[in-house]
Amino acid sequence: MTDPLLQLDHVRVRYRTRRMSFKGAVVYTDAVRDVSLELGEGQTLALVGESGSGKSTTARVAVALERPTSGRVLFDGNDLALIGRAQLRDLRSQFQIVFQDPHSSLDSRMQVLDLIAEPLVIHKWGNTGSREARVHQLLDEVGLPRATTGRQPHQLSGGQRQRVAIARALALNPRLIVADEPVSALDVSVRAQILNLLSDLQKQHNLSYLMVSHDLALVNHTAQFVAVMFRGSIVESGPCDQVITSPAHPYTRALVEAVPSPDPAMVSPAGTVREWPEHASGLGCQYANRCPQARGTCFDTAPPVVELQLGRSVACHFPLVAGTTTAPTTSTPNTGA
Amino acid sequence: MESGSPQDDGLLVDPVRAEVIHVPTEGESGPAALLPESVEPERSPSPMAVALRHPAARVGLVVIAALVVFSYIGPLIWSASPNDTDLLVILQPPSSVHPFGTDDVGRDVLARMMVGGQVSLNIGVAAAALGCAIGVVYGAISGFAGGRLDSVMMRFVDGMLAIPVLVLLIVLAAAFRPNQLLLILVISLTSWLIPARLIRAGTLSMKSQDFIKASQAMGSTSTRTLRRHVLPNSVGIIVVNATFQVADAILLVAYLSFLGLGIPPPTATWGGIMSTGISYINEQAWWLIYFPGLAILLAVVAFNYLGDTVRDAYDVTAR
Repeated sequence: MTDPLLQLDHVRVRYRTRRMSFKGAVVYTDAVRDVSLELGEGQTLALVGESGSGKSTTARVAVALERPTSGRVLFDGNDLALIGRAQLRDLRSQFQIVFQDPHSSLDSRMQVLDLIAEPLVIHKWGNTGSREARVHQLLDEVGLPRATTGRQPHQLSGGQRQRVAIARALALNPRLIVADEPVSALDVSVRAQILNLLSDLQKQHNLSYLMVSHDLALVNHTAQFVAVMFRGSIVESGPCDQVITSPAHPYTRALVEAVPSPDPAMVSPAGTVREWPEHASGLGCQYANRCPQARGTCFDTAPPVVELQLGRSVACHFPLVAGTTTAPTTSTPNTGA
Repeated sequence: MESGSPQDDGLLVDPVRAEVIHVPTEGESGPAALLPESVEPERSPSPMAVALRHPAARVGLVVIAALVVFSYIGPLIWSASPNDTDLLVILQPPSSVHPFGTDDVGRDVLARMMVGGQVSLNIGVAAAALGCAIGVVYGAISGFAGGRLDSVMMRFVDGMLAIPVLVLLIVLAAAFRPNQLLLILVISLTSWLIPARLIRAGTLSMKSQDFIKASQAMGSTSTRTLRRHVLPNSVGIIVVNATFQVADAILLVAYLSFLGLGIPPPTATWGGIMSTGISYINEQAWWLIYFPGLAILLAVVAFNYLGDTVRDAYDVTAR
C-alpha cells in the first residue's frame, strides 16, 4: 500500500475553557481526544457524528487551520506542524477546504471573478489574463455560466454560491478537498446537485475528499469510507456500506436507526440517539452512559480499538458484529484500503 | 463513485429521502438550468450611495458644503481684513458695512468668522483623519493578533481613555504655544482610541467568520488578509466614525479657543469670538455669540447627520 495522502496520527485538540474551577486551576476541554485516520489518493472518507463530536475540528486540523495539541497531521508525508510557515503556505495549494455556509465563506464585497481568482493571486499564478481564463474554465467545471464573474455573492443563490466556493477550492488543482458539511446549509433540492458535482469533479481530477457530515444517509451516497465520531474519538470506521448495513458500535447503530422513516407506524427501536450528560468519572467508554448494553467494564475501562476486518475497526468492548479477527489489536482505527 | 445506491442498504431504504438525494445525472444539472438569466449582472448600489439618497445626509452635506464655501471662498469675496482694528467702530451691531458686526477692537466679525471656519475645518478634518488612521491600524492589528498582544494593546487603550481629554489639552496648551499642527496632533492622539476599539471589535467578530478562515486556508498571509478582507469590510465603521470624529474635533477646538487655550490671538477662531462676546455680554453684543455659536452648531450637527445616515446605510446592508 502506498503512503496515504492525508494521515492524522493520534490527534488531540484541547481548548482552554473560560470556566475556571476552584483554586483558579484552568479547565480544559478536549474537542478531539484521539483521532487517527488515513485517506488515500482519490478516495472519500466521511466523518460522521453529532454536533460537538469534534468532526469539524478534525476537518480544520486536517487543513492546518488549527493546530493539534498533540499528535501529527501528515499531508503527503509532510508533517504540517514541522514544515515552516512559508512552506506550509505553499503546500496549502494542494489541500483546500469548502465550508458549510457559502454565505459566510465568500467575502460579500468581492465579485465572483476575484473570489475564484484569489487563491491564484495568493500563489502568484499567471497574470491577470490567464487568471481570468482559468476562472472561466473553473466556472464551466462547476456548472456556472461565465457571466457570473461580475456578480457578487448576494446576487447568487445558495447552491450557486457553494459552486463558487467549490470553484475557488479547485483553482489550484488541489489533491485533497476537505468539505465541512458542504450541503447542510443548502436547500434540500440543491443538495444532490452539489453532491453530484463533487463526485464528478472527484472522478475528473482524482481528488481525495474528507467530508464532514451529520447525515448518515448522505454519507452512503458520497463516501467509500466512513469514520463515526463520538465526543472527540472515532468509535467506528470502515467501508461505508459495511458500517451502515451492519454497524458494530452501538452508537453507529443508534445513528443508523435515527435516520427518519417516512412511515409513522414504524417506531424506532430501542437505542435512539439522545442527549446525555458526560459521566462523571471520565473513565471508561465515553458512550457508556447512553449505551443500551453497557456493562461494568464499560464504565471503568476505555475500550480498545479492535480491528474487525481489514480496514474496519471499532472501539467497543462488546461490538455488535463479530470480527474475522477477534483478537484485540492496539492499532488505531484505520480507514483507507 | 462507488457508494451503495439507496436501494442496496436495507436499513436506509427510505423512499422520501432517496428521492431527495437521488438526482441528477450529468446533463440535468447543466448551468442553464441553474442561473436565472434574467438577473442583470450589475453591482448593487454601495452603502455610501444609499446613504446619500437620504434627506438628512443631503442636509448635512449641503451645510458642510456651505461652511466650506463660506470659510475658504468667502475671504476672496469679502475683502475686509479679519485682523485690522478700527477703534472708531468697536462693538458695532450688524450693519451694511459690517454684516456680522464688529468686535471689541473694531475688527470685522464676518471676516473673522471665515478665518475661524478655516481653522475649525482644517483641524477637524485633519485630526479625524489622522486619529482614525492610527485607530484603524492599531485596532485591526490588536483584534487580528488576539491573545496576549491584544490584551496588552487594549489595556493601553483603556488607560489612555481614563485621561480626561480636556484636562490633557489644557496642560499641553499651557506648556506649548498651540498652533494648528500641534492641535491636530494632540487631538488625533487622544481621538484614535475610540476607532481603535471599534475596529478591534469588528475585526474580532470578522476573524471567526469563514471567509477570513478561507483566505487563511488559501495560504494568504495575515497582512494580506487584513488588507484585502478585514479593512475593506470595515469601511463602514471607519467612515461613520471618522465623520463623528470631525464633529468632536470641531467642538474640542471651539472649547479650547473659548477658554483661551487654542490658537493664540490674533488668529480668529469661532470659540475665540464667542469668548469675546461673553466678556461684553452686558453691552448686548449678541452678534459675537450667536454667529460663531450658530456656526459651531451647524458644523457639528451636519457632520453628525452625515455620520448617522451613513451608519444606517451600512447597517441595512450588513449581513
